[in-house]
Amino acid sequence: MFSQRLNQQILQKNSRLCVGLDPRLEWIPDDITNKARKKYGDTLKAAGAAVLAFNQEVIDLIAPYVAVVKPQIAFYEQYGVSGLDAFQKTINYAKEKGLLVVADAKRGDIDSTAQAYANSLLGKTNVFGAKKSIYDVDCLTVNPFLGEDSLVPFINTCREYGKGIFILAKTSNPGSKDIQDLKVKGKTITMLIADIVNKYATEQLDEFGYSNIGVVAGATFPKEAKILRKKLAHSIFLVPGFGAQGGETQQLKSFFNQDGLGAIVNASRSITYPNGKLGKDYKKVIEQAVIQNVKEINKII
Amino acid sequence: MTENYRQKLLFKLDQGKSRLCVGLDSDSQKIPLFFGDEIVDRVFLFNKAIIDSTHDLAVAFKLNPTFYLELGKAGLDIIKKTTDYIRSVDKMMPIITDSKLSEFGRGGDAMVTFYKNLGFDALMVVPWFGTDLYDSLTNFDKDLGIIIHAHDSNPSCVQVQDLMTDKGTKVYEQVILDVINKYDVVKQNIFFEAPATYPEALDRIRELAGENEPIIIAGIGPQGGDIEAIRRNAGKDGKRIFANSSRGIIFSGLGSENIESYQKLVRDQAIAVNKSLF
Repeated sequence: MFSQRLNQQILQKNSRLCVGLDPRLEWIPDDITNKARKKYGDTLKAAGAAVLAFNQEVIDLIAPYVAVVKPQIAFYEQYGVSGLDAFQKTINYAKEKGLLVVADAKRGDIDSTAQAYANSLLGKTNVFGAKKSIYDVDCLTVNPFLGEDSLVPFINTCREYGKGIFILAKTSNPGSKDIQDLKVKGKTITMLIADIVNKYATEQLDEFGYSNIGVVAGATFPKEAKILRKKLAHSIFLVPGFGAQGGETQQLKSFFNQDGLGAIVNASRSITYPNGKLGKDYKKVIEQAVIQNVKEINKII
Repeated sequence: MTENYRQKLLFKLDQGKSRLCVGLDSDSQKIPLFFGDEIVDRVFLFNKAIIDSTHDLAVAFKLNPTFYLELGKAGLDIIKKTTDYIRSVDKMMPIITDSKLSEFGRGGDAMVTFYKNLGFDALMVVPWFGTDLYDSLTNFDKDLGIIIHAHDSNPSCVQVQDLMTDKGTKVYEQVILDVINKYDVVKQNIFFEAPATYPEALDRIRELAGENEPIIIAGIGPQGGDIEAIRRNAGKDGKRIFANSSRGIIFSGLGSENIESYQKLVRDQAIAVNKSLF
């Protein structure tokens, strides 16, 4: 199951960092973009090719140091079909290199629509009686605003295929207070979502005591994380907002359990483009950033 | 200059003849084989047949990208061909994507670019991230219509959206109040969706949005929404409401033997559904 594979990798590599793969064409090294433009001209195809080539380089660099990567689908979709092609091939490449893949797609929809999303990303799509894997990622982010029946198709698919989801319980952006912090009889919406999540997150546990059903808990809100951690002992937390968004290392403590598991901390820009536009020394820059971030997070374990 | 979503939609609604949005939830599993031998062609030719037989009866088309993305990359081509086709038939036809977007910041910009390139005038958003979401969407593209799902039509949405907060407003009301208090919805092209399956919520959303704002309704047909609630919330001159119907229309031709008879059944059904909304 997803959680088992993730926890094994975390312990094996002693790494709790998740690297976000959010391609920004304008920051990819010129060597890589020029090659793609030479081959395909200034087209979407060139954009897709550059993104993929860059991601493959990044994956090669980071694979020894991390267990998991998180491509955000929006950054690929913006290049249309070529972008989705790069998305697909990035996923395949990461898996070949032994990494787990979380697709950050923030899906939230009802019944048949949710099921279709679950099919294409986590499970299999029925194509004339034959079941075909489409993107086949290990885990997906899911938006809980539509309530429990929008989560169930994803949860069922996780059960069937041994995959995972991270439900957006408390996001890292300041405006998350607008809805997620609204109180109902003294309890925030985030905590009410956590109650729903916990019903499913106690069903099936891996050897480490963790579930495939996890939550997103923003690094910028450690107080909330502390409460969530108590409530959701078996859920893994995906923690965005560390680094670029200003979350601090010491505050990460409340996201983990005593066993040093229970959370993966995402960093995107601060690993792949620590100083914006990458220069000729980009391999060194990325490798240093990933080593430094893994170490930094491990300080609190 | 091309018209934006608000201009196109008002142009259609002001004619006062239709309250129907045709939802192209074109599930490739359900489309009869006589529409085409190869799956990608079949889905597009199905859409084309539906568009041909309903465009003069509709105020908008809505595509749910899930049913296309399920086909992988080929699905994107079908979406683009479909929006191009709608535009070639009627350049004033608003085209909505039922994308339930919840990206913001740079990711939101990327998502908007994606849907604009696919030919959409408006996109639907799930407000879970708060007003940060609309900040970045409205800043990125002023012409794009943003349709906010404050209250959905599915059974379990009440677990979140109908909760009474300690402020004395329900969650979905607070979502709308946050928007109204912060934005000029007309200038910034913000719109609301409302559920026919929850008539009280529909009444309240109309009250908050005002008589002049177009509201798109979800939950008619198989979901059993309250048609009377649609009528009483029709807004200014009865011209500020429209309802989406997907499966109930586009698959109403199932059982027929060829494209022509399929189209006839679909057209009859579209006429009937539209009539029922008045």
